[in-house]
Amino acid sequence: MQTRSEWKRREFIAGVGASLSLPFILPPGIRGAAGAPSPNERLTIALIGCGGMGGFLLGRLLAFREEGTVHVAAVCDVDETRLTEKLAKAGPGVTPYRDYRYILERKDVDAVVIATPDHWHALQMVHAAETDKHAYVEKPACCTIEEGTAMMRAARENKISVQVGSQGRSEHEAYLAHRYLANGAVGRVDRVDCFHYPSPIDEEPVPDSEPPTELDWDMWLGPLRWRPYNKRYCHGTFRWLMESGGGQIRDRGAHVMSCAKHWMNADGQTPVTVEATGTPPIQGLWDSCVDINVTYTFKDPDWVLTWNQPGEPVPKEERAADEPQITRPGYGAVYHGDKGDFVHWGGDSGTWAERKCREWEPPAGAIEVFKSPGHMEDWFIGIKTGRKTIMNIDAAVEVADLCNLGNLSYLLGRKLHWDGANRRIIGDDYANRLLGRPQRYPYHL
Amino acid sequence: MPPIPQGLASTVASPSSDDLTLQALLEGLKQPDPEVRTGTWRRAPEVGAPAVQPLVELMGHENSEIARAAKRGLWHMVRHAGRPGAEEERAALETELDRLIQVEQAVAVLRELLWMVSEIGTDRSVPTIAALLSREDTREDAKMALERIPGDRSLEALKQAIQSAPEGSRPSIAHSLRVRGVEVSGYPSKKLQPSKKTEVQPIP
Repeated sequence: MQTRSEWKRREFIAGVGASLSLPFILPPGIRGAAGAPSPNERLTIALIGCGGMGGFLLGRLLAFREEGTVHVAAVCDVDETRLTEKLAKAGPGVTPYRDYRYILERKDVDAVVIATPDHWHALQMVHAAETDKHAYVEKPACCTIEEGTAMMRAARENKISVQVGSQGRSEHEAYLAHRYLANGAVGRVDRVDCFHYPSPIDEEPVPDSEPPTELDWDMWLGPLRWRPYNKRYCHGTFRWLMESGGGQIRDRGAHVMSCAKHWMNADGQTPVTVEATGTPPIQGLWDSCVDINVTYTFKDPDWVLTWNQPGEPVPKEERAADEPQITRPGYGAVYHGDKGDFVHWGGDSGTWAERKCREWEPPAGAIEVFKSPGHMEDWFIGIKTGRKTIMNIDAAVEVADLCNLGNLSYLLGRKLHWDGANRRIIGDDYANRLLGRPQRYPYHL
Repeated sequence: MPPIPQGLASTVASPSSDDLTLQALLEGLKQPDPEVRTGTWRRAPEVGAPAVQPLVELMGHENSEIARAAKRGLWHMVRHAGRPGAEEERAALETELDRLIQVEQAVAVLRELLWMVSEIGTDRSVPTIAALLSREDTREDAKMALERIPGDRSLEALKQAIQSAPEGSRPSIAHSLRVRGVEVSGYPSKKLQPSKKTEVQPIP
């Protein structure tokens, strides 16, 4: 049987070479000709973080297990109740853990799927890389600029395949939108305006208390500085705290702005200025801004990206009963070209392009764009061949940077001049001090 | 006084006075209307360093929302004072934070002040922060503040701490030194060592 290490040392490196010249060619032989993969093609995967998206991703992994594509080795969560529930779903042969580092010690595990709160993403991905494991990590990639730098370095130095969970890039209508824009259907696009409904205000603030017995509070906090438990931190509500979630701009911004960077062919391009205004919540523990407007300017080529929360939502288009329905019309973006506009709604697992794009027929000689085989499937190919994933760590960190710099500009109340090549803010020493934050030992990069 | 940062756009109520006094600031923060409290803390930088001690005192208010508004006002002042060209304002704020860290405070307040000074502190604050390394309940936060404050003095404080701190704290201090680019022999990081066992059993 082919070992994890063999994949890594031989095929991955060979694949990288191949992918440099043919980045978007589907490699043959990922699945056997007869349909079912042979055992030596099966990846052994562990899930870290079982709630929210973790539950969804476990369902995906179990479906792949049914197909014989993967072996699910372990599930991990710091909440024993959640862990018990998800273990029951995963069934026999799956080992439960509270501490993900037990998984990293296992030599039989090829890869991990990380679906913990945002403040854990960077650590767990970097630690996975350092222990020779590929990683699928939920979005946003990171909470600070320094975390992003460490993630890119760890993936590169340890030669692992990383897919970040901005799965909108892999949606069918995202492919249509990308192709439509890449072929200039609305001309040259020089402005993209995202819209999203506001972040919530904590309507039921409660005092600090003892953590529930099933929750390992120390492990939930991880790298964050110590503070007493408050039930408004978790679960799920971590999104509304700057430290752990960053609000809608870091949650859905990591989807909608991911689409923008991809469709604008701007992976690799960083903004030169970031300027935000926003409104804080009027009460409660959550501190992510309720409304926020951020303007990012890009140079060479020149274009402007804005995040508008709430901005001006575009009413969803009516669709026929037999068409995919727009179930989340509260966020999306408008692309302004010199020959017209283009609208999409959603941007995550639901990405919907307006009708004129869906009905657009590419003329002869049209530019073709990459069509993802599915977000997790694309990662599996990345693991086995070294081909760059559609939401690889470099692209994902750039998107997370947009979210994090937007929040930083809001917090500081000033415009930031960004040097993307050196990952520094120009002429602002105290802002640069906030590009990272010290991490509580031993939960550090 | 430069304009209040526009990053926090003013769409909630705030005291009507054009020039916010310390008294108006404190009264606004104590109002029952959360919109008034919020509008008030967002103007805290207008008062500047003289507001630091009263705000720190208000952070201990029995009404957690008033305490929170005071804390947010103080944080807003810290971020505002870090802007380029505001050296005098920043230094005045640091002086006040440094002074108040030396005064007996609730641990939660002390930790908050340590993180504030980590954002704008300089050599001046290092001795005060380093003194809190000797306290078990503030050691980790003080260490992280020193890790973040640039300069030789904070680095030297960490080097001294690894010699004098309890044995169990030395790996943590060694980590901070490594973050600062210092090679440390011994005290390897335990970051990859699992330590938390689950009580959930595998399904047979």
